[in-house]
Amino acid sequence: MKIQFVKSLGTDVEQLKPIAKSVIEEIYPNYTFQDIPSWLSKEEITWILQKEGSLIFVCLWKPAYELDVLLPLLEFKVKWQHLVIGLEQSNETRLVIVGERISAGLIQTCSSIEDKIEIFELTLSQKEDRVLVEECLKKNLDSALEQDIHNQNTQEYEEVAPLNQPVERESQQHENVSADESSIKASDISLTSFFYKMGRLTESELASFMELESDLHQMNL
Amino acid sequence: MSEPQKSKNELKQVVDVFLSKASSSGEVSQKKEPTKSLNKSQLVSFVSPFREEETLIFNLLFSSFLSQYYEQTYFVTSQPLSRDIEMVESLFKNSEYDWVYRNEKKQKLINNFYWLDISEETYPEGSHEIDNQKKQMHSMAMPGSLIALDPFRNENMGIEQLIKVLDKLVLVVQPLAYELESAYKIIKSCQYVNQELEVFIIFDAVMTDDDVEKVFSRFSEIVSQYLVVSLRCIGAVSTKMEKIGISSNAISKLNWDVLFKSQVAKQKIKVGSLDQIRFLNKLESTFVKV
Repeated sequence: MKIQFVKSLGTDVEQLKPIAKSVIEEIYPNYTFQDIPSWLSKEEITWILQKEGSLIFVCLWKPAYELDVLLPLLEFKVKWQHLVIGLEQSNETRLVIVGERISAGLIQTCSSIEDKIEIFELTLSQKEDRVLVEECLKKNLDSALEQDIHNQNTQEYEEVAPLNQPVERESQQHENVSADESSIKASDISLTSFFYKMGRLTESELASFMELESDLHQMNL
Repeated sequence: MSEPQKSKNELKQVVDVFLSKASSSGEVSQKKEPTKSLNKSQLVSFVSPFREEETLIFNLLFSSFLSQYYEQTYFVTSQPLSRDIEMVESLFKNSEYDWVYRNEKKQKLINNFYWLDISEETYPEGSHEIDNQKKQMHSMAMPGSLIALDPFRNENMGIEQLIKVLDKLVLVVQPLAYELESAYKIIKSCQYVNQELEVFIIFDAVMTDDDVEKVFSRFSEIVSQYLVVSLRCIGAVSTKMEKIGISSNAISKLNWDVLFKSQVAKQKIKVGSLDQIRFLNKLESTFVKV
């Protein structure tokens, strides 16, 4: 089996990284875990995605309301956009996002590559549960690796176009953000992804559920 | 033992206990007189956020219980994986209802409860045509049947088609904020496709009636704030046998009447209904007379 890299890109993922690493090494010996260092240039990131057909595993532990603050920050935004551009140009690459309350803002930035994305949510309490985290990783990696192997078996390698149009991306992403809900095609995604993509929360909905969380805590069920 | 394995074993025990009690009391073998008029076919799915694997068990568990109220009950999947087959075989292994998957379309599980494999069937694309005559056929097609669709095992139907044909969606959730939030996302996403879908909640927990009322009231408050959907609560039952020793009595004490009553039946027929008719007609052609 061709050796692939499983990357981790995140903002606050120290809790998950060692677990992810050990699970991947244990379950998928032909795959190696490698973090994408923050200092890599966009060319290096896209080179990795294009030439190695990498499987990307993104861990975003930040709750949505924090992510929405975080997304506009230049460093994160640039890195994320490079990832999106790389994914757009790589047929073999799939992205698995694991995080807490995947935000509408984050999903919207990915709309151009949503058919390559699997999303799984974990909550704060769940991420402390190593067994659950392992199960989540295995489940998502199984799905992504299955696709990865399928791609290897059925698709001939296609040379990707050179990356020379990053300037266009900013405006394109704005268009994607304003895209209508109906632009999401249910036929091409899994039911779980459909639920999370179509059911994504608005800011006010999210606020309501944060209140609900507080109320339930007070009920002490 | 890992958590999922532990959970699976717990659920297996639940089903074993349920089946043995149902068998000894004759609850399954002798069909009850329905408390409500169940002369209309119903397509229902039991879904649990974060527990896709267990939806198979939930659909089997609850629909097999409900089979006593219907002429026939079908648990419908397509292309069951070997692990699904093993799970079902394992669930029914210790009951008196020996059952083996024989790669046939329709398998009798218990009495009037069947597992129907629709792998080879194809389903028409949705249509915007409204046809009252076909609506009538819908109610005539299989009077008194309950059809339980495990959505995670019928994705080849197409997600939109799958959600469109559903009459009722039962969300099995723990009374936790993140599960309720996920349940909300499922409701919201289904609404884009099927605005007539009725949604029900079963809390998977040990709860007093008072707590059920409080949590459901709070959740439905949020739902009604943002969505227009028929949402009702069936009650609370813990599927973890270790905690309360679940039995058929616990399941039967749920307020199933709310599931039988349709709040949208008299509403104007919408897009999804014609797809339902086509789906039912197609499904009917796969049935074999027992």
